[in-house]
Amino acid sequence: MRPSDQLAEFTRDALAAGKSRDDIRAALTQSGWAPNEIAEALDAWADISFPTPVPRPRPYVSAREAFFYGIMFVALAMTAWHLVALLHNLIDHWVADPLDEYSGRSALSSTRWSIAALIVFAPTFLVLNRRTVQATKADPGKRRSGVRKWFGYVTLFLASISLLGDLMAVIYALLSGDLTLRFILKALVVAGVAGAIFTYFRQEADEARDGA
Amino acid sequence: MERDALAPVIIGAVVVLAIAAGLTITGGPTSARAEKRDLARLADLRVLASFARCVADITGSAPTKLAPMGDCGTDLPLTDRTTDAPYRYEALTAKGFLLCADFERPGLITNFDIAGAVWQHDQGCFAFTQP
Repeated sequence: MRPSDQLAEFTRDALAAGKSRDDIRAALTQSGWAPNEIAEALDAWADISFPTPVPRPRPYVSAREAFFYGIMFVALAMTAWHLVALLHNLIDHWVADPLDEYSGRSALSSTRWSIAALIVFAPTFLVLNRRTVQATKADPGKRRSGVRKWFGYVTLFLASISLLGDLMAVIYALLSGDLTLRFILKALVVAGVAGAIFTYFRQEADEARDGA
Repeated sequence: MERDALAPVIIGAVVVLAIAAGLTITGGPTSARAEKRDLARLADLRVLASFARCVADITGSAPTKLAPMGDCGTDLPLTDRTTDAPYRYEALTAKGFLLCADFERPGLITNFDIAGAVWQHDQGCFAFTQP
């Protein structure tokens, strides 16, 4: 039996035996369990008056949702990446920098890739996101999906890295004399897209935490 | 409108606007096909330039007209494969020459498209003046 299973079993038995939560916490603390482990073990059982311990709903993992959220977050990542790439190409086209070599056909080619990616992945993300919102409204228990939480936090992680990288690039450009209008616009695009994702999924993560 | 409904609308609008702006730059499938035809013309001009340089190296002067020559190549792309219009050639100096074609998107062509040549946008020609 794993230590976490032993802890869960002990907590259930102790609650079933009528011990108070404070007594259980004290006993576990004395035995060397960490406060967060104790809190998690106690939180697994609802603090209500009932003859036997009543379990709280717990996060779950489902293969179907892993597929669903996997597609959705890949679609989001592709949409964000190619939206940034396309907007950068548009900025290159509209804001001239006399010190830059004209990239001609390669810029057109990358613009076409980004358009193709957006035509495929942006509607995919929007449709799946809409389905998620509707499914969550119909069944708030879906917020407890472990897969959804993981993908949400991975997205937050990537958005945070993008924002920090963006800040680093701005400072580097400032120090290297490349802080042109073109560069500032590009940095704003990255910050805008990453910031939007960050805001949106931080709210999602908050809701998921509330739902757990 | 609540966040759940507003965010997708904004994302959708930004994506649609970006795609529309991108298409105004790339020009759609017809322009892309024209670019491909220009790339074929550039490939042909590279072959012709290589031929003319070879003749100049052997004979000491650039050919007066493009005609197959055993040591430098006999299978020359003398006409545009899409329009059948002949490519224009003109000897300039002892070893310098001019190669021209009717490019459909000349704005995308640069000096880098054919090594050692200077692109003359107005005439649609590449000038080969380096020895």
